[in-house]
Amino acid sequence: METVKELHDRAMEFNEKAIFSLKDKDKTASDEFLEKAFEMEKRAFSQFLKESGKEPTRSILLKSALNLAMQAKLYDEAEKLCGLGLTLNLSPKFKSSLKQSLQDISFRQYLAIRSFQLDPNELQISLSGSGVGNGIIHYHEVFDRIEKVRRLVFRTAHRIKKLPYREKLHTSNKSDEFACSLIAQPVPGSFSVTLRFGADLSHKNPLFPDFDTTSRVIDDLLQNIELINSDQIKALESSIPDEAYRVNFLALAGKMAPDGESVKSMNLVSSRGDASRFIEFTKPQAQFRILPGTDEDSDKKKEMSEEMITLIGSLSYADADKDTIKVTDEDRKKHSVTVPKGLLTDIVKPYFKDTVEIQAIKKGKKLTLQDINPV
Amino acid sequence: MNHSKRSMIIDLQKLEEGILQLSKGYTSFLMEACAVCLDHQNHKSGASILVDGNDPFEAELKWAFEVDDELKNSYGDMQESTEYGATAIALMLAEEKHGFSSAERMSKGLGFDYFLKKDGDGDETNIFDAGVRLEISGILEETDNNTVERRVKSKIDQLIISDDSNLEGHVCVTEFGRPRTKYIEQQ
Repeated sequence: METVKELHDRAMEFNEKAIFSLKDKDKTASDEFLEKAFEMEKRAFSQFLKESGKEPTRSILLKSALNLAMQAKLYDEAEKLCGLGLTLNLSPKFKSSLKQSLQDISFRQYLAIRSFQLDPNELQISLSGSGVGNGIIHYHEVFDRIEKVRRLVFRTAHRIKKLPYREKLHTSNKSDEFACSLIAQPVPGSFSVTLRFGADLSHKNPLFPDFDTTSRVIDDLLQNIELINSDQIKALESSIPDEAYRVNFLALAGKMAPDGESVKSMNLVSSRGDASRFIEFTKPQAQFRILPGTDEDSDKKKEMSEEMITLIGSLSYADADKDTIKVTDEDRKKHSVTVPKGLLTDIVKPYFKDTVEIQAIKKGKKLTLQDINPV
Repeated sequence: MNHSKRSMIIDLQKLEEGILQLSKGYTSFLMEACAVCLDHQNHKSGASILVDGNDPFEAELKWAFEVDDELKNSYGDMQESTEYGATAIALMLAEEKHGFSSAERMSKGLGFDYFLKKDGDGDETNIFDAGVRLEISGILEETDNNTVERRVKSKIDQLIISDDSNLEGHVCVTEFGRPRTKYIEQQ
């Protein structure tokens, strides 16, 4: 009979093979190896329970088997392990994490077997993480993100229609252009809503005259989110060649990205006929850079002795014609900051009159905005 | 602080033979990913890396193969490659600087990536009874919002998930732009 260590080693060998298969872009093989890794780790855990059951090995093997079951999408098995774990004399912290896992499993099971169909003009957004319960979430976690998605969809529609980038958007639902409906949906272990654009509203929306146009906009948006989620910034440059649109896209996506804890993933789903497209947006906010520079830029920066500075103060003034804002610091000193095209309306304006922390590049006396966050 | 003297050589080529009782295939893969990341940031064999921590020093990075287009293409996903490249550096430091003799790769989501042991640690049954948890991360090129310090902090926070185990935790974050690696030991 194999020992616990031998079983665990075999589990990790299969886990490694799964990683290799993913590198070779063989998702099917990777899933099969993950399933085998799970089987081995589950056996290691079961055998360890019979032989000893001592900590910390018991908890580590249980967590490991559970994680492998989740990765292999064996949600029923994961649920059984959580149930078994909750009957054991584990630490309160570990039990609490198992309860969180059960919520996550319910959400995954729902996604795996979902029977609903979305219309081509609909985009479903689900959020999951430690700050999300069954249909319960902190207000700003969801509505800030919905607003960002709404803006991304409309910017994408403008770009696809080959309209030049313009800062000002008609953001009222009363306007023809920016109309969308919000449909709430109960989804286990997450907070989920569907955004519906254009077609079902009484008035004609010039940006979304039909399902074909709307689905093209949604497809384009999802493809670009997939690119940034996998750090393919060069590919994003090809997909959105216009710099203002690209800067706007990166900034909005960065601001709606998961924080990695309260919201671990933001899932975006669309349907085309019987097929669904599902994107698990997991790249954390901290890894976003609104204005990605090239190596050449870095060299130039050094030559021109530019420096990055941080400013904290009240955002007290904005001039859309000159792309400039003013920040009043605690000594009541006003700092004028130039805002690159693509950021003023969608990223900076929502913080007007608020206290903000600004990252800016200082070159001589000129400050150019790099990032802005509320304090 | 003067840490210009290069007091250690990190010979990535050793990964080809397997280290810490990990399979040769896996560690060779890590070696290639690491060289691809360094090459991506225009570093060649012989480049210096700052090994940051309590007692910082410069080390020399060595490898003996060309990072050609074929290799670059097979490691096209730089986000993934950065994590594996950072793993190569972390494991080499774990063996050569910290004296560990084996590493168990752990499954994703445990709060740590490897379980490190020295000779004589633990027993055959309670396999995670004695050893060190190692959490690894990589940054291709540091930015103002994505710094080594911030990543180290987030990885230390991540170790909390598995703090129940009462095992010592180590964090190693490598940045390939400078390049620099920070290895922290949490008691």
